[in-house]
Amino acid sequence: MTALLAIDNLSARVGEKPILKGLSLAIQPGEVHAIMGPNGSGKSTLANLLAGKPGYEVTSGTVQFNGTDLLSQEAEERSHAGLFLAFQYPVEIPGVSNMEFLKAALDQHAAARGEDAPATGAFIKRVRELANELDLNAEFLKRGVNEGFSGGEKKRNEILQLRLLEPTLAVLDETDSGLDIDALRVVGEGVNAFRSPTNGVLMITHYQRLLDHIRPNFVHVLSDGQIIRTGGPELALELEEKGYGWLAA
Amino acid sequence: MRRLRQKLSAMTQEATQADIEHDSNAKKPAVQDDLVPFVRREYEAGFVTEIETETLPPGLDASVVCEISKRKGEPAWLTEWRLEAFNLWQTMAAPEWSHAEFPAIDFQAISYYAAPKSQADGPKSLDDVDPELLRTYEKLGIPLHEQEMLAGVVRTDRPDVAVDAVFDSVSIATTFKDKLAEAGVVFCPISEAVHSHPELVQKYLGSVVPQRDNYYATLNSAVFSDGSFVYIPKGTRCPMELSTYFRINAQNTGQFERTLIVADEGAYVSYLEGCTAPMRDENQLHAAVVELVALGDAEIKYSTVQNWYPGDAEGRGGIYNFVTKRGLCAGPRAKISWTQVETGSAITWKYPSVVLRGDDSVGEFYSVALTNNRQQADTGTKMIHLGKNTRSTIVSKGISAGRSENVYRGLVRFSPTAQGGRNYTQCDSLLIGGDCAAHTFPYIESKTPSAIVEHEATTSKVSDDQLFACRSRGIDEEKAISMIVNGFCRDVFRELPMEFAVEAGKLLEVSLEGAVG
Amino acid sequence: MGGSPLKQPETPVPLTQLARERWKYSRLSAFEEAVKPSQDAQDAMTLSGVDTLDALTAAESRTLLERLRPDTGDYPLLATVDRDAGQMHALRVARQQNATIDLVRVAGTSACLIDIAPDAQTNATLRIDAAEASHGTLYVRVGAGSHLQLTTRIIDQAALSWTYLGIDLAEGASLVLNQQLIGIGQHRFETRLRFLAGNARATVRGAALAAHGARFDQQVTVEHVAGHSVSDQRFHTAAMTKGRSTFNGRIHIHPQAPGTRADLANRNLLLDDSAEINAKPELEIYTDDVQCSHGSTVGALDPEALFLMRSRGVPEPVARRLLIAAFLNETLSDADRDDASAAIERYLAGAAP
Repeated sequence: MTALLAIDNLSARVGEKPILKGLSLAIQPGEVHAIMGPNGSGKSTLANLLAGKPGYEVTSGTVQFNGTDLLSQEAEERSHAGLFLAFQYPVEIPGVSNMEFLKAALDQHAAARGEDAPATGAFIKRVRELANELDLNAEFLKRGVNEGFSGGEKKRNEILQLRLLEPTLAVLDETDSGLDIDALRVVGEGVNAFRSPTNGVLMITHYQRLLDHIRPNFVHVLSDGQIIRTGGPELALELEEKGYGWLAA
Repeated sequence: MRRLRQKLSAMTQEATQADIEHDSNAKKPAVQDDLVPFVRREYEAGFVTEIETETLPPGLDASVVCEISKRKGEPAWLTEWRLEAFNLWQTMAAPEWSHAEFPAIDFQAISYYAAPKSQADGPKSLDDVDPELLRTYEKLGIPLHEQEMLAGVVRTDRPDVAVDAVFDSVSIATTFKDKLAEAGVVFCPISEAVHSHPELVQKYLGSVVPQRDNYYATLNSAVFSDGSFVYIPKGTRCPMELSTYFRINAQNTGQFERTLIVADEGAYVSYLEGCTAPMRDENQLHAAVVELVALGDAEIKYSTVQNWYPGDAEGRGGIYNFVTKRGLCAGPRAKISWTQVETGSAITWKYPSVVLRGDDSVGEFYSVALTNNRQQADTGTKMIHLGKNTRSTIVSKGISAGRSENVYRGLVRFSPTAQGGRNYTQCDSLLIGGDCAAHTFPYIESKTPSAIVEHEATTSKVSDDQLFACRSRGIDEEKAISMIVNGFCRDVFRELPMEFAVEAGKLLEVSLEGAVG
Repeated sequence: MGGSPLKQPETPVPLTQLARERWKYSRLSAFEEAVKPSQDAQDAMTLSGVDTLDALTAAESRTLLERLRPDTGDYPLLATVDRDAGQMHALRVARQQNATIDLVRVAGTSACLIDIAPDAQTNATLRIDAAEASHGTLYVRVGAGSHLQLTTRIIDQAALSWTYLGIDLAEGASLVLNQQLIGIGQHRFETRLRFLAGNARATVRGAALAAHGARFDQQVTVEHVAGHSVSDQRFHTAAMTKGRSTFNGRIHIHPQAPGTRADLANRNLLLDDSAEINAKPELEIYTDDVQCSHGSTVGALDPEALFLMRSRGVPEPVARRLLIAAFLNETLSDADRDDASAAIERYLAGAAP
């Protein structure tokens, strides 16, 4: 079976500063992986690099996504190919309504598959459905992308985009940060609804609490640009209890 | 980027009306929600119509002024009025304070009169109009055949719009005259109004923009060719939108239209203006004057989508758009609202203004000015507060791309008599690329302690984070920029009548072509 | 078109149409005519705290002046203060030194040049205390990593004055500039800051109170010639009886200045029917990677704040004074608050000049 995502010995830097130093990781279809680690360990760099954000330089290693080379693709091509990044800090785009934004994204996904754009009626129905599930007021569809949204609304909006675009791999970058307990539950349910035997999830988080809602198959500890320990869900509990210090020691 | 664009151009995408449907109860569909199609096209209106024209030889002196007046069969008072202006003009100098740079204009090299030959006697009805001219307007998407429009042939989804089409110097067709006449509305070429409504023309012509107002307005007063005249009687709400489409066709001619709109007490009118010109290598001068008079409780809404030929990527050719537009809120509670979308012209120099003389009167200015390549725009407004409790709002969105220069210049003045007045100004600039320039020059003058003036301006670029957010959702860069720019302009677009709003959104996309990548 | 223009005679143009992007309510000739030039620019200014500083040689000051001096086309009044470099006070704050300099212009035309070497600290004041009309210039070069704290003070000056202040900031330099213009008279103050390298920072605060027929004209230009620097300006002005204030604050970002952050806030209180406020904040931007903003407001005191104070028992005249003083104090530094605040209180209390 081809791995959904295969990262092999990946090193990367930002400017002159090496951040990732030989990271390897494989995610099979149906699996949920969590990456935990202290600040500055390279978690967000990994997420942004996978999504194709400019400003990161890969110095060695490869990343295969569904058996094809990921790193040579543009950000939008990665999205079309089924990779999704839920941002840690979703950006505001004033004046561009959510509806317009979502429609543009869906249309370009369809075009990339050589299909017609989805029918407007069905599109609106689906978006409203998802908004409802995620406890987002329908008014939000008319507002500018993330414009004036609370932290929790922004994160739920990310999950709405995840559900709408139906990727095969979701990378969640600190999606739990800034969420209260209710919002955390809603987000967790959203991600669980996305899980399937063919999809994968890569969760990047600081805390174990998200893992109460989204149960991972594997937990990795990232430290100084490398995975230094891999285990099951129990590893997260251990980390919560003891902190990261005991691993590095 | 280039690779993606090529890929993209191979795709066809359909316009969707997602949010119009979504928002079907709203009075006016918000354009920000309109998903305009991604089209790749050059300046579409750049064709030349092969038609016989009658032009005066280039050059300007008193005899030319008299000849123009004579050809139009004008009464003596108007010939005198023109000559007065011409004499004034000879004592004036071209203004040099604008930010634009261009070689001095040789006013003797311009022809001051061009008219389609077959129209020399004036069309009696649309049937008399040269079919080649009608085809020109069809190409531009401007309906002139009332019968077709009434029969729903052209488009069923837009409301009736009465059109006055001005081709080079002459008004060639005005539609829906009968229907308007029923309501008592006068909508005709100003050359016709001089004969049919001399008292109105004589009373209001030059009452807002006097002959001596400024260099280009004075020139216009001397040589103005044609333009639209509108009079809305007391208490009348004009039954449909009125519009004028200006088209420069002939070579080496200047275009000097004069538009005069008078809304009598309690009247309302919404007026649209569109402009196009062929692509030519040399510059052409367009020096129009628009005067608006709103009497007590009257409201005039004036919208412009200006798409004169901007010149090519190297800055060759294009229209010099040196226009004076001013409205007078003459009576209490009058309201004048200017909305403009400026994407064309090599150089734009215009400041649609409002003189707020009536107490409690309202002035508004909503503007989107986009410059690309070598275009230069110096545009803004003047709000002159004279009456008590007068209010004005200014929202200006400037977008600079390529190697263009985009200037907002605005004056807000409160005279001692303007107690309790208010102004709010929001002025934002968006820069696309490192070679363009954006400037903001607001002038605030207040002698009225009880007046409140607030001005805010920001400058920013399309942020990398915004672009990446779009791209990571599968939206390519060009579409993302176009979306972000449209979003940036949303506050202005929502002031436009619906069909203009859609057109404006498309124009922005076309005008931004090549601005990125 | 193209070709030669028609010859047109000159005609007067409206005020707002005067020379490019400059908006000069001051009649420049008034300044030119008023000042009797001093025999020696050095006599026109008293200095203290400079005993430990080196003087620049004539050659050094000439070279430096050439760099710092702007085009007279932009600053026509400079021509009237033009001095041989040898005649100006020309000082150097040496590397890593701490200096305190107090400059007082007492008459005629004064000129001063200060060269702050890298990694030095300078605390300076420029004060005008002249019975007759006076002109003056102050040029400062702030070296790499150096800090300059400068306060300019024109308080209670009945005699007309014109001042040019030009400051160049090198890599990593920082500036805190406080400008006070309080009281009466006719004063034109032109300030030009230039960022010549990155990582520099300027904080500018201006407090102006135009009382009893005062004519104030503040022209401030901040030029970001190089990128990655930050300027933050705030000017508060109040105009009382027959007071007139013009503020022209221009931010100019050059093409080679990406990563610039520049903000300007200008707030004005118009306190009397006979007073006048003119404000012209300008942005002139030649590159896209910048974040710039300006805001300008003109209005009376906030009626709600006034009402709140009255409803708590503070009589209206007292409430007004408190609010106006608070408004101006916002742009005074703590260190300067004493002198300036006392003057403000005096004018607000209605003391005759």
